[in-house]
Amino acid sequence: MESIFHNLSIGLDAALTLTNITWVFIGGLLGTIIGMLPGLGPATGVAILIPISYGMNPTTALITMAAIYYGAMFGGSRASIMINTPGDASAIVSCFDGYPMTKNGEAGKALAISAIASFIGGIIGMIFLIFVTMPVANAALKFGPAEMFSLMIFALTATVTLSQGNMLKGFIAMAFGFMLSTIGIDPQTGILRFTFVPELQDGIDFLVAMIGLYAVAEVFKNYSNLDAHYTIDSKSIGRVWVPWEDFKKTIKPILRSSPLGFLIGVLPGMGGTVATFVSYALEKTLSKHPEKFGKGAIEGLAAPEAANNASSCGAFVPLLTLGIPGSGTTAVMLGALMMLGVRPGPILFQMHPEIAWGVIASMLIGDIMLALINLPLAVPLVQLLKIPQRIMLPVILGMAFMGTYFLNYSSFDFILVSVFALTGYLFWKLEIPIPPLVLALILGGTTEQSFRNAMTIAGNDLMFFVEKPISLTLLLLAAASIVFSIYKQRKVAKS
Amino acid sequence: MTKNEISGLMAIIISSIYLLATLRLPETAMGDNIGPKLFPILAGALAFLCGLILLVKDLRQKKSNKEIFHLGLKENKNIYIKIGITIFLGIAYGFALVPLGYVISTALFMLLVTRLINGPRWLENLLLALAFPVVTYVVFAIMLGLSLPRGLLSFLPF
Repeated sequence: MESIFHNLSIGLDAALTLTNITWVFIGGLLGTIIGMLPGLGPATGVAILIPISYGMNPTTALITMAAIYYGAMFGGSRASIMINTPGDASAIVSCFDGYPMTKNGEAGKALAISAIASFIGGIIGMIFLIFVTMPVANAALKFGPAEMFSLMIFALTATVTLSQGNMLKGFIAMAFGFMLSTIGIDPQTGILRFTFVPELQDGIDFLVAMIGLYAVAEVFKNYSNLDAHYTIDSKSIGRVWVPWEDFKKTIKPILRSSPLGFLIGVLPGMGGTVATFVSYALEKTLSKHPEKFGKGAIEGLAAPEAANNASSCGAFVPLLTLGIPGSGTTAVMLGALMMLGVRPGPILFQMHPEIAWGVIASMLIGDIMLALINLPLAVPLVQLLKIPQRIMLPVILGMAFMGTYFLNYSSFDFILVSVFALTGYLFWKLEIPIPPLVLALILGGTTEQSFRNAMTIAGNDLMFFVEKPISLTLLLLAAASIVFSIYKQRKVAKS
Repeated sequence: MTKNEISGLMAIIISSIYLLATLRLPETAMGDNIGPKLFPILAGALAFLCGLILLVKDLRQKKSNKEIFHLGLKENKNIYIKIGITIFLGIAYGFALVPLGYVISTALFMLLVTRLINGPRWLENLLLALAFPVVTYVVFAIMLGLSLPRGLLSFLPF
């Protein structure tokens, strides 16, 4: 118990410098703007903003990236509330009651409760994160290559089976991701694999893939409605605050949704999107006036907002303790961390606790900071939504390509970005999910190495993976999720 | 052709090419029993298998439920042309960065891209095409100290 406070104080010590606080503010602001703009979303936005962190020392860089990530969580629902267009998938549910509130002339209240609920959800999520991290990191230290392999298989399988969409297509995307991850020099034998061009010898940088698959592909998707622009009636927003009687109604929903969101966030493959939908459904079921949901019920906005922020804290658990990203945005965070030479995982907690706890502490500070930003600055920030698509899209393209250059200073990467952009567009048209591809691309290398290391230890005995209890449990869970998904699809097909 | 059929076919074709390339990899070096081939073979096999199942399942389904894949080469011609031009500009931008320098190549890229997306609104395009590289150069090269190619503007002191 005291070690937790000790660690937290190390973290706060690192985080509470003037430089870092300034960067939390800047990062949070940028993140809110990026998360707010429809078509960008946190994953793409964080990827594009990574170059900002290059000149900084690792702790400050991490803190800035975490603030951007967090800000994007706060900002995502602004567009949902004001123009019924979510900034990203986890903000979809905020449209359900947020936009009706705007239509009822309660936009100010909606913006305020969304910031406040997000703040509380974040605090609760942080508390869980602080207490859960150490035990998990300590347990992870005992993971050998067999356990690591099974863990990755479970994480990847869960991403396919627990998210929506056709399971077979998800596995195809996952397999493609593995195939892409094998390109380059094989670490164990030094043999070149599939490098028909010398620039491919270092493999494919997944951040390049993500910029192509998310940012540029998103621009392509918007080519069919270039004339879109949104109108906002600033005068009717009213005061950005929530009166006590309204806030009272949201207290219990927020307190229920936060732990729920946290748990969902911890699981790989499930994140803000699932958390928001589940908490909305839960609150609607538990409410005494379910008919009000969808017409501007303040609980219908508050609950998913809290769940969303709590889930982003949950997503940090596997990321920091195991080095396994649970979602697209955490995958980008992983990329940012690796670029700074920080390898998240149990070793991080042992060797550099000040970095790991610095991130956690700065998320705490970020949570407070962002609530402070989002309440008074709500109205000016929301004006940004008025920028028409035909101005936004070139800017996004500019940032995406510019950002690509900053990653590896390689012109060849521009070809890769284009290939991935076409792939992202094609997958969207064919309804093939992209997250399994990205996660397999990221984790493929480690998965293969774990497998081969384990086999070397086991003397080529495949039973090794099944003999170790943790490994067996994880593999069984992976299999169970496949069965569950098949059962779910059969049920849907019959109805 | 439906979306599932195309997805399945695509998976089968790509994984087959990949598996053929895998077979041409050299055999294992010393000490490593598994070798560099096993994992690629597993990945390729997974894609092939899922693609096959997907294709077969879809072919056996009744016609009414299927989601037809509209490539729409005719009605969406404009969009596909725009996508093609964007890609061409993007790749050209990548190779122009070092010879022309960051500011000039970014300005050119932005000018052409805004012309593509924003239409012939030359004033807006020009403003954006000048503002974007200058602002980003100031932020990244000067304030954050990152190195950016100077190219044709190398004579400038900043």
